[in-house]
Amino acid sequence: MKDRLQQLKKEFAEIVDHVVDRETLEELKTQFLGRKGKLNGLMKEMANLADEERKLVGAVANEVKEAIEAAFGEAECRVSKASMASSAAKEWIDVTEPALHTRPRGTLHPVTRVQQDLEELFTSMGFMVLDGPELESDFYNFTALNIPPSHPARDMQDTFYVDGRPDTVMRTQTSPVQIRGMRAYGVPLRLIAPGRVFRNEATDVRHEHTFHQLEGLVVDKGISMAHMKAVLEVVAQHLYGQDTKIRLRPKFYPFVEPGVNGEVTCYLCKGQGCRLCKHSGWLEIFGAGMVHPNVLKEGGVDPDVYSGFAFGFGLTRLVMLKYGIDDIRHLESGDLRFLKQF
Amino acid sequence: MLISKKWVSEFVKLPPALLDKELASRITLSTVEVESVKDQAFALKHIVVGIIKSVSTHPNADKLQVCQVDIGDTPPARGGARGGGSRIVQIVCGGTNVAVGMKVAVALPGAWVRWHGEGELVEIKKTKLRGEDSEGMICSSQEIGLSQVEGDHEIRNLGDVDAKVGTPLAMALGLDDVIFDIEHKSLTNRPDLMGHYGMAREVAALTKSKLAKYEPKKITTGKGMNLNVKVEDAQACPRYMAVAMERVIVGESPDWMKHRLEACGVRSINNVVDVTNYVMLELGQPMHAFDADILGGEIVVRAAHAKEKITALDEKTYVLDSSMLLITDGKKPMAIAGVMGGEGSGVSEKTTKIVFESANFNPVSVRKTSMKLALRSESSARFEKSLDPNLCELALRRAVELMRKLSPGANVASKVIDVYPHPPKPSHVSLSVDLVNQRLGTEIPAKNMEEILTRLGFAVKAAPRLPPSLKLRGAGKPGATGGRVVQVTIPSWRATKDVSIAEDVIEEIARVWGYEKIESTLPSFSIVPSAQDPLRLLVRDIRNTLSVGLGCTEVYRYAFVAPDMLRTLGFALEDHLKLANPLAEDRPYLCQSLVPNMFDTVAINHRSFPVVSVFEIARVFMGNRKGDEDGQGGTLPAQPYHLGIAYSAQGDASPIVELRQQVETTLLSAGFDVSFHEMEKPGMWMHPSRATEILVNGKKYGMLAEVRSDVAQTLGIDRRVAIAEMNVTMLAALERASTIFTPIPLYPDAKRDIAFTVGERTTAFALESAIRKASTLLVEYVLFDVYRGKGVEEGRKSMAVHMAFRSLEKTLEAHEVEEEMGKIRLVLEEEFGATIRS
Repeated sequence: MKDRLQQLKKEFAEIVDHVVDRETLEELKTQFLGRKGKLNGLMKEMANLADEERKLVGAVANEVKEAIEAAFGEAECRVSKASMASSAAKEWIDVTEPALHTRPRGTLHPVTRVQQDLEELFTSMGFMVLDGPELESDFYNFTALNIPPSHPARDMQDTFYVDGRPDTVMRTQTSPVQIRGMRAYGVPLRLIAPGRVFRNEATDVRHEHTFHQLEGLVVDKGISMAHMKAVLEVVAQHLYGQDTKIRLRPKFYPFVEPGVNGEVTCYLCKGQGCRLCKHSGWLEIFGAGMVHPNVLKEGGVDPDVYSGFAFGFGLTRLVMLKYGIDDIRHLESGDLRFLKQF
Repeated sequence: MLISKKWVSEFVKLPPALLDKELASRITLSTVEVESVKDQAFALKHIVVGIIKSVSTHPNADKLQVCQVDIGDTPPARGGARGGGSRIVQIVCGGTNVAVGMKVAVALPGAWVRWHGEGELVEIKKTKLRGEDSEGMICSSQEIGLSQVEGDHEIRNLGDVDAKVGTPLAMALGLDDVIFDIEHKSLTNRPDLMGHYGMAREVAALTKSKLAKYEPKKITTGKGMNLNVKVEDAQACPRYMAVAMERVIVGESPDWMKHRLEACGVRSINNVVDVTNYVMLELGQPMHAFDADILGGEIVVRAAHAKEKITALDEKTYVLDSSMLLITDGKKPMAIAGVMGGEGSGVSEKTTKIVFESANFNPVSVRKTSMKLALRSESSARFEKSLDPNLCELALRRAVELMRKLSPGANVASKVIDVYPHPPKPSHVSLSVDLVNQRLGTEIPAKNMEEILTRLGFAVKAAPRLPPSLKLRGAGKPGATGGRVVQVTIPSWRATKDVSIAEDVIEEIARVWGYEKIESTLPSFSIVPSAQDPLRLLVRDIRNTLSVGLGCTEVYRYAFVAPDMLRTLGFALEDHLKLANPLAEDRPYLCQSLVPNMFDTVAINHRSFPVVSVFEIARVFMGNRKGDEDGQGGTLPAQPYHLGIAYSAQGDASPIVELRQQVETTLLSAGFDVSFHEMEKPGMWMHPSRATEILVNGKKYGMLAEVRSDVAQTLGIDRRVAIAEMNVTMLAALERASTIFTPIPLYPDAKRDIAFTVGERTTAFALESAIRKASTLLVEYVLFDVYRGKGVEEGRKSMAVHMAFRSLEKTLEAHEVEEEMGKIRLVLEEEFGATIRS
């Protein structure tokens, strides 16, 4: 009995070395280790042996079984390695071939991208992101922002008015959200208000009647122009890199005093002067200033106690600079040849 | 606006080391934007006045002459030459009009010229032309940039120029000025800078230089003309000054005056008109000169009658209305006040008596008149910015002074008229030194503030004691400057518009001190997190799902829509808000739905893209629903954010299926329970049997439909288009489901498939609902195949579904699953007339 078991082990070892494919190996497995296989056949015969004998033979049988299984495992490894080598050639595919019939890649509008990026920056600094109506009251868009009724900004040439509603305008700026924000949330306050604005302006390569701005407002006790400069520096460096500097020069806006125009060192030439910055080394990207006391009052804030600064970025301009877009009209064109690039 | 450096230098002594570029940059950083600096002489370097001494034919070239030219013996290279002496050089020249004795412009080696007025600039060098030495070039106007006239190839004859040989051409022609071009808009609030004296005052403050006083001679009253002025509307004309002069000889102005005017872009007309323009450019005060014989002795300033007409100096006739102000002779209009003079009453060659007008007009009235008439002038541009009424007198004195200089026999022939009923009182501002530093974040010493303000013309003195009840912003808390408070008097030229409160004065200090000197300091704030806007978060999620997840492209379109588009889609025009002054007459309506934008986006892209899959999130404008408050007790029209999605693919006969899936995925992943309900009354643009409502929690939040093919055809779209629209603002108000973990099941699923045929009109939704209801153990239901055609009866479809059953208590036995399947088969057969296939 023991001999026959050893014989079986030997027999398996001899055959298994010659097997090269998986099918034969599987057959062999059934033949030797299967339920009706050779090993099981011998094991069944063990039932007829005497107890003593059966113990001894059983030990051998187990040893043989383990040996066969081990040999089988080795063979399996060997066979699968060998078969990989042959299938490498058989299973070649063109890995550069694009997947067919997949869903196309969708894109976000470039303004959305830049806006989200800035929203993240500002929220990380604790700013609220607020929104306001686009069809705005004359009061919020002008009067509350210290723009008196005779001001040229209210001319029909600059502002879209609505039939039968003389007190509403398509907002010309995101600044009305300053007042809405102060009234709704009080002080201290940090907010930004990105959004769509409208000007009654003929469109060409550089002008659009519909474009996007990003407004900002900070109000608290003791807020100074030095604070404003620092916050705007953070934004400029976020947009154009750590070496970016900002420059302020006087500019009149009715809702701030002092009011400034903000420029950043041209990111293309690093301030050396190039075509993009019209050889000045500076790019004009925002307007800012200390909130006018009349505006604070309209927002329900006491200008004797609080002060603040406000700023506005031309979001559309930032987008055009970032992506090198040369014609503003692409942005609201709906043309997929443009939009699918982002 | 053009500013001449020479003119400014008459009033302020500029530091000699200050470069033009530096001055421009200082003005830009502290005052107004200088757009460009043009050195007139730069282009004319190394070009001098010469005289041709002899001309002989070139031995080797028929068309060339060899000239001997006297260029003086003080070449400009030595600098500052005034000409004179004599030095003869030989120059080969091709000009046909060269002649002995002719005074010409000679470009010497080192000069840059444009050959024959064409191509790039070329540097002149000493050379040989066909074997003959040539030490320069005799130039035509075009070659040295003095003429833009095409084909002007003749040598420039300088016979009329009074200059010795060797004089630099720039000097000889009076082109030795530097011109600063100031950006117009940046002057909006600084009317005081619209004249050279005002600019000089500013430059003096910026460079800490001395400013000369502006003191033209007082006018000595004359006799001979009885001049009467009546101002009917003192609101529209706060001040009117006039004076008559006689024995005026109208003629050409001297060169110095012409050069000044031309440098500032103003054409010389005659000495009288030039004087008024000169004064305007110098002081910023527009003036007018009437022919006194035409005007007579009466001036009435009154409102125009309705439909009254005037022909202005531009030879156009304007029809006026009663809001416009006129200068009349008591009967006929003579000028549109502050805008333009009348054609008939101006100064002509025959004029010998004149009346100078120097008045102040209301800025709003002038602006409105000029806008209504579409007539803008140098005068209206200044008046509409609010001028200082004190300028009237200085301007009149200066005009008389200049007129007497230009026409020496002229003298004053009347009293000086000055109608000035309400001269404004000087205004003051109390200012705390601490407030300035606190607001700027600086430590500017009080004496520096005082110096800046004084140089700008503000008077500064210690403030009178304030009554204790009057609180002064920023005062009272002694800082570095001990809480010092001063009283600042605003100069009249700044008081009209720009400066009235402490903050305005702070700006004056800050800009002259220099914004670059303010050191950045980040503010410190509480760490309380900012409030979140659920709408913004939802919009962001939707954008990501649609673009990243579902391959849609986001578009931005206009808020304005054309009536044709609305009619095509069957929207009622009268429901829409309409712009009163649309830019494009064809797009006057405010959109109430994003469907027009979506439809249009498919129309413009479908020819280039086999698949158009786009979305837009934007506000729509609902005239008949109430939205946000308007700040004055009323409400604005509602402006909810909508989401529009469009899908159209070549060859896809039912794009609504894909779009429905996009909508479902978008809403599900945003945490909404979504279902669809066939629309009972589809809109006019919708395919009558392919339109559905989008329900969330069983309530309508939007719609989804295919566009009728006849509607699509109107925009040239020959394939099927599906459009969905939802109200995102409403969705954002809903609670969004957050995922709660359910334990991994302890017992395995039993999976079964079933296939059956049902009638075509049986909806997937109805089947699923019924089957789910039929079995309590059913945990999963996935429709994986729908088949029509061969093997399936006409009017029926074959459907196949994966199902999974599970119990929470134990592993299901085969017979228990079979029992559930039995219930399902029964429902299918009895409720839906299904034939079970497997």
